[in-house]
Amino acid sequence: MALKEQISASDPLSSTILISEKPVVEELHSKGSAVFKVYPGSSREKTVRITLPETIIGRAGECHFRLDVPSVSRFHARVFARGHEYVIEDLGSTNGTFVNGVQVLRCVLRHSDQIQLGQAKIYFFEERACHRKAV
Amino acid sequence: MPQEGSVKDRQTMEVTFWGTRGSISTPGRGTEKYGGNTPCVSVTVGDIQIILDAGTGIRNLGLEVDGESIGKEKISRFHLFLSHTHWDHIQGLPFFQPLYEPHAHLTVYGSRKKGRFLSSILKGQMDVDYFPIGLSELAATLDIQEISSRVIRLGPVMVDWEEQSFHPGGSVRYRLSLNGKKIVYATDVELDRLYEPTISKREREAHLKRYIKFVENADILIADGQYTEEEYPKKAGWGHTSIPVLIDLALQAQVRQLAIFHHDPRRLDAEIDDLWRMGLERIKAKGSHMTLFWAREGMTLAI
Repeated sequence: MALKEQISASDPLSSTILISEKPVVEELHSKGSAVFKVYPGSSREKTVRITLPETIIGRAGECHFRLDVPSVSRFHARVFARGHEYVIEDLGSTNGTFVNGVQVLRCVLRHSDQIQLGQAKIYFFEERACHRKAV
Repeated sequence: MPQEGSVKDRQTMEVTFWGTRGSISTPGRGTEKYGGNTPCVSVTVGDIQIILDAGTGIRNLGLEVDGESIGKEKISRFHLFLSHTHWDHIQGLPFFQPLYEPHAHLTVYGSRKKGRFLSSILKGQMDVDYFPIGLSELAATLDIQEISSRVIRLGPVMVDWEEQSFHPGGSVRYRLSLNGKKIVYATDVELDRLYEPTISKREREAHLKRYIKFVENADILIADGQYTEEEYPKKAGWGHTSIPVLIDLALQAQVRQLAIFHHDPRRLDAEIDDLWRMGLERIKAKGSHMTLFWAREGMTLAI
């Protein structure tokens, strides 16, 4: 099943938003990089490249990655690099951090994981998909 | 700035999957999402460190705790509960880094029903023919206990257990309780056997009653669901449960979260994704809100 179809099939709340695998994959250049595709509820989708060893996600202005959504806590979660992987960790948020529908305290992220913080939905894409495509 | 998310209090059980694969480790691109290491789950409550099984996943757990304890002279205590001693549940133990640290203390608990003593079995896998370092040469303090009491208390955590009937050589299920919350670890058991015509109705009901009572209202049930319904007939007698049987029993027991565990070594990530979708449909059709997922390496839940 194509990634686009997977996302719309698994996520009825974002069924009006279709994303194509191709543009996402084409954005990924540097080795070890990853991006988030964000659907923050009412506002428009955006793409955020993960460049820092630690990225704080939340509603507060101090966050590296700000989600201006009421159901997102001020400091909701952090994403950090551990070895060659990225890990998401809940920071004691009110509404929890979910990966593919499961509430987690911490979770190693894998390509095309769906993360939900409050009403905001984020998809995680690893750079390695680019290599697969290129070959 | 925010606090670290890690739960270090004694009110919450922090459950981490280090190995979820059954039978044999399966490294490779096709299994990296759910993981290729054999069974190991840690449950941390404050400074109490409980480990369920010592498959190859325990190696990464050891590396993590070893990294955290560098430069510290404090004794690290671990409590390892073995479901049984088949390879996939013990083969990571010689690679558990804290065993080579003088400040580490490991207590191993296992069934007393073994024909051979538990310590002999663990010593056997570290015999010179299999491994260069013997069990008695480890720097850590090792205490191997065959479980003698019905309940083991580790600080505020209560661990109780039951022998399971349907696995070659036997196996044990464990229940960890803290402040009314319950984690049940029940892997390597063939629950499908309960429905064989050779089992009398009375025997079936007795087994079911015992099983349901043990897992009832678990906040998380980590359980063997190695086979699909279609695969099971060819694997009958191998000691593992089919997914629909497990889901239906978990629903009956009103489990809150079911983590399907002990993935078949041939199962690829994409196939698990498909099984997950089908499992969710089964639950939805029965009108339940139970959370269902396939356990995945590197995932930590707060219970």
